[in-house]
Amino acid sequence: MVLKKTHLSHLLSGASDKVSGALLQQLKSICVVICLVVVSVVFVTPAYAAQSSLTPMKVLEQMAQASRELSYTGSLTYEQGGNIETFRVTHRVTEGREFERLEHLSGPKQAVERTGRTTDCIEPGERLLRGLSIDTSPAELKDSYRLHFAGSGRVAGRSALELDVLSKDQYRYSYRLSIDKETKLLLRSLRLDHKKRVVERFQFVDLQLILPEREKQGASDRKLSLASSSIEIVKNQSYIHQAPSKLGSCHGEEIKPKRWLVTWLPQGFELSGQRLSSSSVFSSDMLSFSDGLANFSVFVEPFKKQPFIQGHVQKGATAAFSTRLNLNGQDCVVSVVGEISGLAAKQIAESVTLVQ
Amino acid sequence: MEEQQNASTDSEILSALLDNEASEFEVHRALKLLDESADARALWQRYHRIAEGCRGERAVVNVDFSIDISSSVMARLDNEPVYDSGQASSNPSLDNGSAMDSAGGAAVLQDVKQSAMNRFLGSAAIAASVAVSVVFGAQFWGASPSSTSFQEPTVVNVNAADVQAPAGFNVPINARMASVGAELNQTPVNARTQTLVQQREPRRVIVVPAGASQAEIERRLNWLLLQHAEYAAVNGGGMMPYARVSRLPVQGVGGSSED
Repeated sequence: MVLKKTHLSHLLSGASDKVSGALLQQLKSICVVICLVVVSVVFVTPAYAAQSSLTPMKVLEQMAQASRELSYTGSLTYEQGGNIETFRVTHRVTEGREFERLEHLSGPKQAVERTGRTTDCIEPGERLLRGLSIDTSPAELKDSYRLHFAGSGRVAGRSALELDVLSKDQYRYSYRLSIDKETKLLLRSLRLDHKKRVVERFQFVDLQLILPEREKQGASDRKLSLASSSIEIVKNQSYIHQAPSKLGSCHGEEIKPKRWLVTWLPQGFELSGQRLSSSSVFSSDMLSFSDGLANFSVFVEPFKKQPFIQGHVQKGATAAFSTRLNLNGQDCVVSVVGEISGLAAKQIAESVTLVQ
Repeated sequence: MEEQQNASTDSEILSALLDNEASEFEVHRALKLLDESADARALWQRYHRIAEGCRGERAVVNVDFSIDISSSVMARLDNEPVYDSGQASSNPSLDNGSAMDSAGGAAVLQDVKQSAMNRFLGSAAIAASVAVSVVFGAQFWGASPSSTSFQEPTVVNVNAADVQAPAGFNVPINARMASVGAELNQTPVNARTQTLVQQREPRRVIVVPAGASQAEIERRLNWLLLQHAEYAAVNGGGMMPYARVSRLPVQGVGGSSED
């Protein structure tokens, strides 16, 4: 019986030894895990922090800056309503002045050129996009859109950062932007309606950077003309439309409504310019608005039997809404044209009044 | 109290399963619950009816709630003879070994053929329904994007005519409804019929004044687009906004001259 007891105690102590051994083993492995976690936290956190400091807002700002300040050329497609058109875009900066050109590669031979804008002047729309504060109003892109990264992609043979810019209301579109990781140039832009249908797509097919030193030597010019020698380039000035470059607040435009007041605006939109638009045929007071990504323009003119479409027509992302309104006894045609929803265009048009 | 809490967690699990948000553990628990508790089964059915109501698949009112196909499906399943490949391959050995009635064997074979036929018909039916939904989906998604619905525009003037929409433009349903008449506006139509109607109807718009020509209308729209693009191109859009103007005012193309 006694023997049995000692045996039992031996057995028990043996067992407890085994138990403590197992415990020790477990403790050891726990320690190793903790050490690994601590090490990884210490070493990885700065890298992670560096990456996470690149906020979507920061990327948009860099994108706006890159598209203004870098010199590049490339082919892009513009797709809308089942149609694809192809363009060649060129952007060159010499001594702080921009030269821009958009040339149709399909359809009628035509091109737009704009010269002489300076890279240091930032218009209200771009200021909103770049998150720079505007004194007169606290509007921010973040109020109208939810921004978040959506992984990586590849466009025009370049690796791109995907950024979702989701509209918070039904007045404007959402975007999926693919931004070049290296240069921060916009490589692809999808506009989506509130049902997530793509209404418009811009996409670079190829993109070449024009480096400043090569620009000086004129080497890139020769290389570019060689590269595109097979493409019939619009050289005849009669096919080139010279776009106005002296528009907006940078050129002394007063950003304050003068004659007409738009009393309803979707949140986040700012007046970005106004002028009297006129051609040999048409003449209209014009107000332009921007929320940083989307733009629309309001046209007000007296009704003089000029032809217009009553109601709403749509082309890709662009809505055009016209109506006849009686503004202080004056028979007027009010039109809203822009990359906003038809609902917004209608409500904006009908909210126009005369400045008292 | 505890029971009540239990019931609420049960209902949460069922709700999560319905929304396809249940974890693997919860799925197991829900299956067990549905197997054991009649209350849970009743709740499960009620959730489905609510979900159907929400999706508009059937009217929430005037529905015979007594219909429960699950019990009859279960009964049919219980009565269904089991044909698996193992049994099928063991049949010949049965034929050889025992004194199997040849007529009975033929009957079994007939049954197997029948069930194979049924299976084929079943999968064909599924394939057909998928094809139908693809066609519907294509029609739905292929439609030109229209704006959210809004009311008829305020028509100040009666001196208007409806003509063909300019090239490249589409006309959202409500804008065209105005030309069709008020009675169409009053009938509630769901999104799908709207899209289909939109596709079938000719693209027509109301123009003011009535005598305006297609060319005049197009020239004006193009002018508005260009004016708008000029500002958009200044406000952070680069040259991209000009891509939306299909006809630039250049001599070579024959547009209106610009300042």
